[in-house]
Amino acid sequence: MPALLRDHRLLLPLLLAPGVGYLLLFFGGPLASALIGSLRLEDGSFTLAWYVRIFTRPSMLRGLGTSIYYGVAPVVVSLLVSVPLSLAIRRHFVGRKLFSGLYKLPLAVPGIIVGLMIIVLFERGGFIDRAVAPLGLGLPKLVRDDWGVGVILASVWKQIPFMTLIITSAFAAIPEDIRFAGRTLGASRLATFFLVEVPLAMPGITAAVLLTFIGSMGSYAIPDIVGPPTARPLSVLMVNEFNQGRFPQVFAMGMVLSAFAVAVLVAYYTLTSRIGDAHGRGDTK
Amino acid sequence: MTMLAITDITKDYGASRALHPVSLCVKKGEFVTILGPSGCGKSSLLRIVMGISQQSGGEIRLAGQRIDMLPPERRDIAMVFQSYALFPHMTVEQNLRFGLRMKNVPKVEQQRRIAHALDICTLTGLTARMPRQLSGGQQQRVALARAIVMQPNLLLFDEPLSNLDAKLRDTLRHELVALHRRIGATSLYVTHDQAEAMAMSDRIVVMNAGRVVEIGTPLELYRSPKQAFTAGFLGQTNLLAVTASGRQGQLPWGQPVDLATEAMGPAQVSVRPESIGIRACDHVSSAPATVAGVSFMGASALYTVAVGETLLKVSQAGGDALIEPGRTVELTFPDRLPVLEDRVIEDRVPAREAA
Amino acid sequence: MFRTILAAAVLALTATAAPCLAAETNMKNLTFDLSSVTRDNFYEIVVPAAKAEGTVTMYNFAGSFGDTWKELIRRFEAKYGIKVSYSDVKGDQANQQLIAVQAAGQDSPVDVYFAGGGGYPLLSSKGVVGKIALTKILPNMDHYDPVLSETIFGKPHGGSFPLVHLNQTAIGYDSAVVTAAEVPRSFTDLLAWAEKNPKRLGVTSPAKGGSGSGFLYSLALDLLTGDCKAQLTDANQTLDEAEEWAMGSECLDPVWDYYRRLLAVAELTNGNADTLNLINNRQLSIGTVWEDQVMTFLATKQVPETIRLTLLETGQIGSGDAMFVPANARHVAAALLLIDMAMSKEFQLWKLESKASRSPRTDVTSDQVPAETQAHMLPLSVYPRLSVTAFWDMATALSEALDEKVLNQ
Repeated sequence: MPALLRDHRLLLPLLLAPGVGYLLLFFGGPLASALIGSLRLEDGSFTLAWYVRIFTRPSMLRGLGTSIYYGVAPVVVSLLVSVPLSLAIRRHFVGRKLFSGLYKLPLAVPGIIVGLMIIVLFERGGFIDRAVAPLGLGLPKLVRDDWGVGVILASVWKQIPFMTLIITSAFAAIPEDIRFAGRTLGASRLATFFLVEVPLAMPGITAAVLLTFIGSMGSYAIPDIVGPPTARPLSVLMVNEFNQGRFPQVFAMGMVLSAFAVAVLVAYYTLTSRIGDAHGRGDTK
Repeated sequence: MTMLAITDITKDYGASRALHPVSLCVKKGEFVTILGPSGCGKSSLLRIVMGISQQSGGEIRLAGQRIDMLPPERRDIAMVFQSYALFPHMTVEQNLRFGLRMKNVPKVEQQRRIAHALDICTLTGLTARMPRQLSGGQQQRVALARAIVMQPNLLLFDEPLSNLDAKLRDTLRHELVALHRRIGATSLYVTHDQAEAMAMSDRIVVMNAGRVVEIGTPLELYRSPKQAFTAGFLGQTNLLAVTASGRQGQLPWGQPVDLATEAMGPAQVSVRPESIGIRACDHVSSAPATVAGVSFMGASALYTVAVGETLLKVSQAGGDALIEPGRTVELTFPDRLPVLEDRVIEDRVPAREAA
Repeated sequence: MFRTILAAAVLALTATAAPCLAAETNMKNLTFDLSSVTRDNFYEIVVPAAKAEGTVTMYNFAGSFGDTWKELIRRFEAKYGIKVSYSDVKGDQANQQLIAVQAAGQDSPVDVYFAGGGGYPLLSSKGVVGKIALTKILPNMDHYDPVLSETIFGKPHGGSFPLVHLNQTAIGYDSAVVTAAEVPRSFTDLLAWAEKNPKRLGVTSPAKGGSGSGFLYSLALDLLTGDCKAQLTDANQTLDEAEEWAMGSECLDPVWDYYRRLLAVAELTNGNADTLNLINNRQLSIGTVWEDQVMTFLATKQVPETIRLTLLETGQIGSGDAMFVPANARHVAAALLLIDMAMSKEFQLWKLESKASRSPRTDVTSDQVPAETQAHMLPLSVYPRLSVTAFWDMATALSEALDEKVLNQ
């Protein structure tokens, strides 16, 4: 029955089209065109020159390092704040409702505004510096400092609500009884937290870490405005190249940055799928 | 020897009082059940004993030591939860070992206790499983084993069987009783299921509306309850008004009955359906009793009998020949009917299935 | 005057190469005889034709110029009764749009385009610039700077791409801190001052602001000589050629050495505005700036009143932006009339006073504006004497090389 067979051959792609087609069209397409664009000279001939430039130019190599640094450092700091914060929000205290509304505010503030805010408030000679000057105090260098402390603080400020939101719900998903079980079995509050709650909240925590890492690694406005002019992350260098019309270079840098993000994602999935078997809330059948 | 002594524990939430002064004690090795409808305060009391909620007043002693100010981990109490509360990220063995590690029990001793608990809870062979790979009954046995390995001064049970289906619940109930016999752990068990309470307990503490209503052995509470609530909550009963004069009483329709205790004037008695004798007869007595309805239950038949204004439930075991509705019957009452201490005649008593 | 000295040479070089020839016009929508228009009969022919067109379209690429053009349009509409439809655009996007339109052989959607001066090589190579010798026929260009009349940043344009606004990179200093005697006059002075006053000099990152790349290019002009300087200033180089040279040539070693010493004691800032902000915060006393931006910041009190400007003795680069008629514009007469009014002495003077926008007119100078405004502009003693022509592609090439050779080492 060749007719039927042919039908089936047709049917399968047709059925897959909405899902796979969407991915191909809106994700694969642009990615492929960027990849092709990054491998072409102006006359259309093949070249690896744009990639060679990335891995030989000191500014680009440093840019890659800076991108990773601006991705990792804020996440570490945010995590140290978000976890205790989500635990605090779980408890009842006066003004909790107001607080849990307020702490989300930075979510609504665009990165560029955060950058400008830092410049106005935390620049030496800026608002806060002048406010504390009569007390004989002075702000340390937060803007344009070599370690990008200003960039990290701004990213942290921006990431904490998002991270806290995810981590709070990760902790909230742990049944109360499991916590109490830990306590009645002789574990202190702290031991219960680290041995029971953290492992169970881990999927949420890693997801939050991953998303904020990729977000801050690719952020442009904050490092551009607040960061040091010497160590510029790839995102900033990309805009610079874009302004000069060197699109193949922009594509090549984008590919490198995406490749790194994808590598991190893949590492995440291989790790979590291994831990995954050990997870799952098995309190009822 | 008293293992657990709860004295005048109260709990207030703002202006409302969830627990009126509650006192009870559990002797070493005893299995005591707190029985009451939902909202009666039994869970609040349990949380206070466990240490995850702070009482508003009163004190708790365990093995002579005051524990009510201690955090849960220092109370030497192990808990079996309604939701089992197994650690989903640990194997069965790791779940069992968790508490022993926390209490710094030596390795060899850990091994011995775990092996023993696995054995008596019939979990051998499941040690490497994750909780979600277990059935509900298996999970509950792991929860039990996890509490047992602690060899605590007190085992707390919070409706541990209520998430299971009826058949499994029955099996586990018997296993629990057998287990208790073997290890003799002092146990405080919370449930709203009177059948469970009666089948398992050495003594039952009946609670209602934040107060202890009555404490006694299952037999005492069933046979001679002192409170209408107890009489109604444990099994089915007929609450009848009597006019008492010493040990003699008179039912509303004039039939004389024998009272267990002396009383004067209006009083109330509880008469179990199965202790009323029923017999068809043709002659009309002074108080005509008529069968209004009958349900055949298999081992017994349950009649609804109308005597004047009053409807009585009467259960007859065997029941080879059912008495048809509309027939006139003669009722006989047992001697020594228990006189209830609360005089309030309640129209409605919480309906419970007969055991 | 640099410009006039150069003028003769440039004129000689470009007279024959002038691309503006009536014979090969790229204006196909003319309603009047453009080839017969001279400065003398301009209004006679153009005004009636413009009124017949009735409307004119204008693009503005510079965000800071919105107010300026609003004023021009107000005056234009009042005088001629011709409606101006005006749009703010993003330079790069508008350029691409016009290039695409031109390639498709369609009419230009815009009649007057205020575009970045650096865009000429791209726009002319794609045939976007209308071949009209504006500087030779507009009456208000009779006092036009003779060099700019023929060339823009060293490239000949035949009068078709006239700058209407000039701006100047400069050294800005807070006169409340830096005394008159301390004001640096040379790059050597500047470095010496910075070494004496660590972290009080701000240098805009060349990658992030024209005041920084302009400073870098000016420094190279100062330090290079002979063949090296000839290469540095050869405006016929493409950006790629310039980059290759900047990355490889030993000519620039003195420049990198200077920057290494400078950055040890100076603050590298994130942009033109960043430098001014730090001066305003009193964290810097001297910084690399744009003259017109200082004026804009003064208007909103974002720099101290005590700020003063100067140019270093070996010259600092000036730039500018142009107004031109794109090829195949539809309302050519009205477009000519609008550009002519933009170049009128009154308007150029008003623009100079209100935003330190320098004029290519030789008869518009800063001594014609009130003294208090003059105080915040470059003094007559240095401007236009020390203004030198920009070569932005080279400036860009230098900043990239600086990035690799100094900043990231």
